[in-house]
Amino acid sequence: MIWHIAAFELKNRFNKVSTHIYFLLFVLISYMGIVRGSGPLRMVGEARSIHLFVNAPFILYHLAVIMSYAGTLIACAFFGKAASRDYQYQTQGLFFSYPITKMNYVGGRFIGAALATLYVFSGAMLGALLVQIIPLFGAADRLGIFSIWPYVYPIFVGIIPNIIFVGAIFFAMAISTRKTMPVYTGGVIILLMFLLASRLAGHPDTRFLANLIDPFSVLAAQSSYGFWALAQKNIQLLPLSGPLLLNRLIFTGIGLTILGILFKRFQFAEVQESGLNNPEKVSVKEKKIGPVALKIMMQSVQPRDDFKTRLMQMFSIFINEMKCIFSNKYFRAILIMGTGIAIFAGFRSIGLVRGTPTYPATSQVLDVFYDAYYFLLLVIVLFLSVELIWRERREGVSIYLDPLPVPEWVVFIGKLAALLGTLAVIQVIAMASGIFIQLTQGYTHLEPGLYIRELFGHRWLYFSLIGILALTVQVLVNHKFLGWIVTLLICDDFIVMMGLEHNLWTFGQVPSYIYSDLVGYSPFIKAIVSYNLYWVFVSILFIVLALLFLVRGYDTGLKARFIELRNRWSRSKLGVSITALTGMICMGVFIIHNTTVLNFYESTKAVEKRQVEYENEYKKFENSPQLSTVSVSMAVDIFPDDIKVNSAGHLVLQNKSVDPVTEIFVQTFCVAQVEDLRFSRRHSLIEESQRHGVYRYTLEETLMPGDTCSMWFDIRIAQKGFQDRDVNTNLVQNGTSLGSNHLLPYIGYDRWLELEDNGKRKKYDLPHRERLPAIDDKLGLQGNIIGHDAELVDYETVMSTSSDQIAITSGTLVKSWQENGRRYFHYKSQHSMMKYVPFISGRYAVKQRMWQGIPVEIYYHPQHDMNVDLMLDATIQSLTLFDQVYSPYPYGSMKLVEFPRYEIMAEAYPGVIPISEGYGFMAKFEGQELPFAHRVMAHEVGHQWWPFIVAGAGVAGEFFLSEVMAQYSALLVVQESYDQDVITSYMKRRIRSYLRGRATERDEERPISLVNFETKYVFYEKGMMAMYALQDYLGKAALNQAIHQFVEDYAFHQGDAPVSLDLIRYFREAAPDSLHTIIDELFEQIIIYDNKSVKASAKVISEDQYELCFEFIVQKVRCDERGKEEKLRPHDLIDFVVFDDDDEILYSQKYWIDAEENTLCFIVNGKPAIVGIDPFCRLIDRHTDDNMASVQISDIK
Amino acid sequence: MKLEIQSLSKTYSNGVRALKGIDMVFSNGMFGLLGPNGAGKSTLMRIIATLQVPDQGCIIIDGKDIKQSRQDVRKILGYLPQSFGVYPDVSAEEMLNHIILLKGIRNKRKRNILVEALLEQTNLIDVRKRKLGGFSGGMKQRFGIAQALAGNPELLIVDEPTAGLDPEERNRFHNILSEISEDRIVILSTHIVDDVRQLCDQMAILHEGEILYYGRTVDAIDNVNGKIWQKIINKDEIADYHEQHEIVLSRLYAGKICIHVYHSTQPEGFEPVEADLEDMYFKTIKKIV
Repeated sequence: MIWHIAAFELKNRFNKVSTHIYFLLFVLISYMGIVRGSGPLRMVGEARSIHLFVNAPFILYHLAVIMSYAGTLIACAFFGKAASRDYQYQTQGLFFSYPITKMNYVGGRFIGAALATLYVFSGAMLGALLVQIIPLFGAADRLGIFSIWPYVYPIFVGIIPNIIFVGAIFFAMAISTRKTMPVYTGGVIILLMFLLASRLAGHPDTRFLANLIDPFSVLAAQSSYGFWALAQKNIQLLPLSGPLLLNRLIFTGIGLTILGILFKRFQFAEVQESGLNNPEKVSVKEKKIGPVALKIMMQSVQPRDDFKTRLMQMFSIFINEMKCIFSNKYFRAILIMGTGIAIFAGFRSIGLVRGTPTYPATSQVLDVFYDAYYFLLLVIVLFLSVELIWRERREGVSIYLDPLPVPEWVVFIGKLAALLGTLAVIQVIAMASGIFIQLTQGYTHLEPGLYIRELFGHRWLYFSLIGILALTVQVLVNHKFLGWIVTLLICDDFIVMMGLEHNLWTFGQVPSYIYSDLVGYSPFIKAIVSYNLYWVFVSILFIVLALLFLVRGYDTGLKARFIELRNRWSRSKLGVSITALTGMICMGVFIIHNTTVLNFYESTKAVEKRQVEYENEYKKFENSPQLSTVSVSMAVDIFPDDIKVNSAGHLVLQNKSVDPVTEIFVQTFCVAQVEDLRFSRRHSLIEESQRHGVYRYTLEETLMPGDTCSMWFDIRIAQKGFQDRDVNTNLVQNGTSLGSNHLLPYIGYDRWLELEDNGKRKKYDLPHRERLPAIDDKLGLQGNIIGHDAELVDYETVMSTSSDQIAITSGTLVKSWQENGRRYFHYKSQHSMMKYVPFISGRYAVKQRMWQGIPVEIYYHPQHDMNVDLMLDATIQSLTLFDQVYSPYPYGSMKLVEFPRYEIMAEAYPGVIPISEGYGFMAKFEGQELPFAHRVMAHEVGHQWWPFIVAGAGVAGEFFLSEVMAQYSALLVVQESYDQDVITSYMKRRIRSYLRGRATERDEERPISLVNFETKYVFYEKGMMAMYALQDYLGKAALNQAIHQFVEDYAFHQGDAPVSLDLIRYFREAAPDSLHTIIDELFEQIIIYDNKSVKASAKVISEDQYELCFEFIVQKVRCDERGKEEKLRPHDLIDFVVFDDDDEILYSQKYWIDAEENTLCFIVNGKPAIVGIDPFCRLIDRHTDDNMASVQISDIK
Repeated sequence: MKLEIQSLSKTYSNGVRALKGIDMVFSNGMFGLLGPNGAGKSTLMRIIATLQVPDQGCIIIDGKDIKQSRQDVRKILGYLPQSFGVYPDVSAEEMLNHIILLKGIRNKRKRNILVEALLEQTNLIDVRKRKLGGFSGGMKQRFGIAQALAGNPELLIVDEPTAGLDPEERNRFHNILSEISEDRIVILSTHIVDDVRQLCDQMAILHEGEILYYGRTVDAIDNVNGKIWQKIINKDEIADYHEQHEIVLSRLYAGKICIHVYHSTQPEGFEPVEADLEDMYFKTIKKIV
């Protein structure tokens, strides 16, 4: 019987087309997700790696469980309907009187719905399997060895437990309330739980909790493969153990328990509607008004249909709908839950930017809230679109409301107003919670105006547009779920996936923008307004469409609706449509004119094609001898109000090669307009390509080695109209920050303009490309990290800007003056320097300190003065230290400059350090364990030596001599200011970041000596770790001495630039022979340890003397570049430290360890409490938390 | 006012032919539409109430085809559907006020007076602040009546209006209907023959989508008067009588069965009885000739 009922339920589902549409969608979305590494795999960074197999087991698992989330609402429908079907169609009396046991009834219905859900969900695995069979889009190259098991495993471990859990909950909710509505609320709450869990997962302390509240095990699975390298990910099945096992047991357990209770408690008795139980109060009093009076009263009213009546009706509908929305308990549940999560997320992440505590400035609060509220608003828009269109029909009210003499537009616009009104209320809630969070963090610089502009100016409008879309789609599709899916497809990146990237294609989109305190919205405002106007016109057309098709009455067939359409089509609708269409076309043309005619528009594909073209066309000139720049003198005129900049000047070029030069390859920033390019030698233009910024000249007389030649240039950049994307935020009204490549032409082919992604290169038939040339690449060795066309230059610039701004570049300020209402600044380098300079202009306040006779200045937005003193202190502390350890600081000034928060980072140029508004200036220093000022300022000041004084060759490992050494510089400053505890816990976090970083490596991990571009986890995290360990092995003084010697030998070096191995050679020379293997392992190999304490016991041997025996394990592996591990026998010098009850060190000694399992015994003075292997985290240890053991003390002497 | 229905047909997508070419004319006064369940009554009501579109035929009000201007019907329409729902979280008073405004009465004072009068008449005045979700079936039905009467509908369509009402309520509602029907068309759709006999001057019998009788109520009874014969029989005899006679109706009578048959002459053993509308109704839908 149970199977009979189950089969009945399943058949019911299978008879519906929508079931199969969901299934096909699952197949399609999964297929596309796998081959493109997008959509459901968006969360998995490495899914886009060309080295990752498309059938890597962990990807399949992730796909299966993340699609469970996507399918939650489908499960809602299936289970909700299965449980309430009999109530809804009022057949309960019939069904419940049949001789079926409740086990059969409930169980059968549940199984039927579960099987139907399983059918849809397993579409994900079928889609993945399809990739194996039909590997399109380049997937053919990424197929691992096929095995069916990785496809089956996620169904049993992932999908089925997920279905049991959500199914039980939804089923129980539907059975106990007899309604399907609460089930959807439950579905939304499960989705919000995932949102909450993924926020918790971001922090190591709450990671475990996150694993336990993510019902579908996305995060728990992530914890299991989190530290795996690519090689392991490609083949290894997720082990059913640890957090994953726990998660699966918990949620399957909850599901089964709920089902058990349901079987026990379920009653077949019909539950009467609550209303019927209310005894009716029958009033017997005489009627004051008789039928005749009523008739007269009825006749006395005058129905009207003038415009004022219409407005009043519309308002009444609006009020009525608002009441219904806000008294809907499911809506309230979603709203309260969502707001709670947003505030919770806000508390956690507001005031933290890249792990740095930050003042909760309004712009930052809005960023964080955008994420949290985005999802909530989207859910609410979808929820309300269904409510507004379907509620009247669901409640059986439409049957007497539909024939009321109200035109469709009054009804629809009244409802729409309720939707927009609700969204406005939510924006007010968002604003209130934002201000609440700011106040609780003690931040009182409130900016209600900014809240209103942001929340109501654009975001409210955006969701209102989506609301109009959702309502219209519900009207047109006339099917709740399909309506949702269609809406999501239209407003999500589905359109972008089809290659239509211009924002004009994706409904409601405007070019992305960022608010900055320095410039406000200025750089984006024109675009935002134009796009929004465009979308408003489009939505007016949607509204007309909805009015024409709005269902009124019983006929929902296509034919009847088209007949009705003819009746509804009217002159006024025609008028509105024509007006809106005209408006839309005008705005569309205006936008297209701005974004593609005034500005250069390229889709991602077009950019790739241009890059390929560049490489195919010009790669051949990479090896031809070129001139080097030896001197730069220029004039840069910045016009902040007109958003334009002119750069003109003169370069002295010299043939530093051994070959004669007859051709000059000039490269310019391709957005710039080249007005003039001339040489002092007679020349003629061979080729000119504005598209690539390439200008090739031939010299009439050959330039012999050592000869020089001058080049004059005049190039301009101006902002015209607005862009669709890649808005040029370097050039803005306040806080312009341009680099040398923007304003200075340079010589020679630029390999950084090549297409980087090797997967894509293959598609375009380009050879495999290393991110950096090999360490012995001849061409690479000729240039340095900055480029190929210059080593050191004499630099001089006259900058001008508007009278209220200050212009800044490298060099020392020689003179500044006012002329023609503009300000001029003349900068000149005192020392020859690298050709790598910024051009900055803004309305700044300035603070100055003198250090050893040179000015150290900070230029900042007048309101951002919180940290300027600390930043100056840290800069001066760093300068003082590096001046001693490395070499004297060579430039005549040091300038720290704030730039808008379009990028959250700090940079370094010779003598200038630009820092983002969103990074240091708003950082909150008090209460920080390791203040930003020391970490970041010391790092950037360190860059003044590495690479601006010691420039490494532009080959693999170049980041050793820049980033790794800048990190070491930061370590030196930190060590000067903080004690070991702070440093140990800081290092622990570095180890974690490194392990996580290497796990998401899409390409190859290199040892530090060959570190590549973009592998931050190697040069920032592992680099710092290795230097920290090396410093301990060699001793700080010895190491610093070796580095000092290296700087002395290579400072402002002309000729072949040093490489990483050169510095490692200096380390080796400073180290005893016994440490050479260790240095080799630190810098030239990838070694990972797993050290673990097992047991520690001690016995008293004399008064206050104990003999302590410590058992521990040392596991050591060497990884290859893809993460394949090879076990090594340890041979390491490791710290062993004993602490007493007060955490004081009783004993600290290094021992050589040569085995995996070890026992060490040592005598300590004082009562030992804790002993640890490598307690200061000098080795890269997979688990740093199991290194300590408490000491068991036995009393026997 | 005059409402004409001309060869109206409606077939549902599942093949059910709800109406098979119906012609009728309504003028002021009460019109009874009798028919068993599934006869097509509700479909007809809904088509007149602009909730459905006929496949063929048209409805003409005062010479105007409503296909072109459904809005014109809506302006004069009051409609009480057979089954309907309410917003659970809104009070009767608010909802009624809202509906009256939607009917185009924008004067707030008049609206309030009318709401009160309607609530008074439907005996809901004491529960006017109560949420509709807490209403019993009978209260809901009365609310439905109130909303149908709201405004000044010149065309009032009531579909099974007295279902769930107690006799006193039913009586009161009948009084209202007969009072207001003088200057408007009231179409009463029901399967309760008594209601039609009491209230309606004109009537029609609808069965399987076809009109079997159309005319004055008194004429309908006259049609069969003198041709209905009655006999009281034992329960176990009923099968025999079914074979021999065409039984118009049978009802229990003091533990026995009283049967009516239609015959132009008196059958043996039967006695004459004064014909009722019920006899006419069953005779018609059973197609006894």
